Amino acid sequence: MAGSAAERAFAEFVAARYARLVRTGYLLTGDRGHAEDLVQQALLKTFRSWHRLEAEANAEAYTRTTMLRMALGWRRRRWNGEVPTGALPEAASADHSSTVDTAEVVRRALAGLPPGQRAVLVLRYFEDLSEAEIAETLGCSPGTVKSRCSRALAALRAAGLLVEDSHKSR
Amino acid sequence: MNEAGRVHALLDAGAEPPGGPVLPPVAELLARARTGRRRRRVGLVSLVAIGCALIIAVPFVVIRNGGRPLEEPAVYPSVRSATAAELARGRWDVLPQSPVPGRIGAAAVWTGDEMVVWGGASGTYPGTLRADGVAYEPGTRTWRMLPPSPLGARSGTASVWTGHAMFVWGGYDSLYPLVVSTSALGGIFAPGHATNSGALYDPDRRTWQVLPRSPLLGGLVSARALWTGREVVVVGGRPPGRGNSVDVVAAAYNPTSHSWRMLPPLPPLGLRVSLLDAVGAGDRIYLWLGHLGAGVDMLEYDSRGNVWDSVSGGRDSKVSRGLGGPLWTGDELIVPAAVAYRPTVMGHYESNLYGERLVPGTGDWRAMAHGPLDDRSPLSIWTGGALLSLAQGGGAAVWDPAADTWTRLPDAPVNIDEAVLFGSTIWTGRQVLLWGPQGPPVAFGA
Repeated sequence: MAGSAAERAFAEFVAARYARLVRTGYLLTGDRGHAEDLVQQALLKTFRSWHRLEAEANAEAYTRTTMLRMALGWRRRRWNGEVPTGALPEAASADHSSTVDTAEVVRRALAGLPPGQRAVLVLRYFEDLSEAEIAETLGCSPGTVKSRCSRALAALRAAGLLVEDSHKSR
Repeated sequence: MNEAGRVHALLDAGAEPPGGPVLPPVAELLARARTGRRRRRVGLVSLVAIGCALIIAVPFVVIRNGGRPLEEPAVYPSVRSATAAELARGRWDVLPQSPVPGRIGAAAVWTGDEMVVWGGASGTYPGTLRADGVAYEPGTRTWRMLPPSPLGARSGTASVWTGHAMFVWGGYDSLYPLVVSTSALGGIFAPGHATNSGALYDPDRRTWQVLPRSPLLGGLVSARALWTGREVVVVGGRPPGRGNSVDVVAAAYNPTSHSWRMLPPLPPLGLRVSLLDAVGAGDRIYLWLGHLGAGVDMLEYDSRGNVWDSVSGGRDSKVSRGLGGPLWTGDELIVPAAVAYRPTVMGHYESNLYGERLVPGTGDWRAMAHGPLDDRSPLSIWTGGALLSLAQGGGAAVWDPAADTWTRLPDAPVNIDEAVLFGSTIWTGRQVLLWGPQGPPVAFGA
């Protein structure tokens, strides 16, 4: 089956979407190595289910969902270096125009969030999923999604990353 | 910027991992996938499954072909279109082998007498880029090589027939990371080495003419070429920087003056574009611009007024559905069935998909009846009087626009999977020609 239509379609999918998926993985894990590992393992699972997925939109959603579930599972099993807190660490300053790079500020801010809140934030504001889609992806209720999102945004506000006078959210 | 916008911007900034560009390890992943598949296949269970498959398959093949050799091609009616009723009586024809390998991502046009194919990539993954071309004449069932092209080997070019010549422009001159087709995923943007050169091939004189350098510096990704009757409009995305989103730009080549001009900028959409498809409709062009997670915008370009306009509907209307390779019938735009361009979730695969049709200017989208292949990402071809639908696995069906009904057609006698996904597909006025890297070229017609 070398060079089959499925392999070629999968290869094109990987070529087109890999970088984007790694960025999502990086937001979820805060580490490039973990992110690439996560994406590659998820893609291998996607390949095994390729015949059922048919369309690129399904394949991407499948890969992303697999990444999410693996990331949350990994976090529970072996990522012990980060301790979620209710408040973000002081280092996550809003003064990211001077000494601290914006990307590093964001990474630290995300690292300070509990994994569930982090996942909701990334899916809502980086992947542009609706609350219902996030609920289905994470296997929780839309109410849980809403409350996690609200708490994550509150944490970002408290850390000075968002301007206080606006409370509009998508 | 509101708070949601600020969160978007923060995450965009924080999503760029350190350590240089992220390159997709396509070959490594495929090798790992193949290894995993081989491991799973080893063992008694697999042998039993293969045995069962053979037992089932042998009588199936005998029944399907009736034990007879494939029939000779029919004498096709001398019409330039085929209706659903005519195609329902159609049959498959295996064509003579070409003198060069079949390919994917090639430029392909119908000249009125011949199917002309140039470039693309042949062989199994990752394949070999081609700089050669060939023409097939159904009337004589013969192939002939094209003269050498002034263009280097490439795949994924934008091509169109201008009435006198085949226009070929752009494409990718490298197979790494992997860009073999701009149509496989409905125009999805992918990294690659985009080129900014092109040529015209005149089949009567059997000569090539190099195009002047276009203003589309740096080339385009997912480029489409469309003929307005006076100019070739080339539209596509500037090669992506971050993420997979692009700026969409367009330019026009005038064969009379042998010159290019930039088209006006597209109206601001406010969302990142990550997918593009287009169709020519006389002197107008219609663009579908997909925003991952936020639906599809549709734009119209009037070549006489040289203006862009939004097509009524917007992201919350039926325009927001998927992109299935839009078609122009002469009266209507048809968007064949496709999975909606928005994220779905694991375990929920969309089904009962259907195409849609629009008479431009009315804003009245009408749903088409669900077709037997609509859930299988089919390839759709307008035959002048009907919609021919071909899917992986060899399935075929035809849609009657007057009755809004589908008729199942005989399955292809050979493997057409790669031809459907990535190959060259041409409607000749009597039959559809399909040529891909696997199996012989085939035709289906009334």
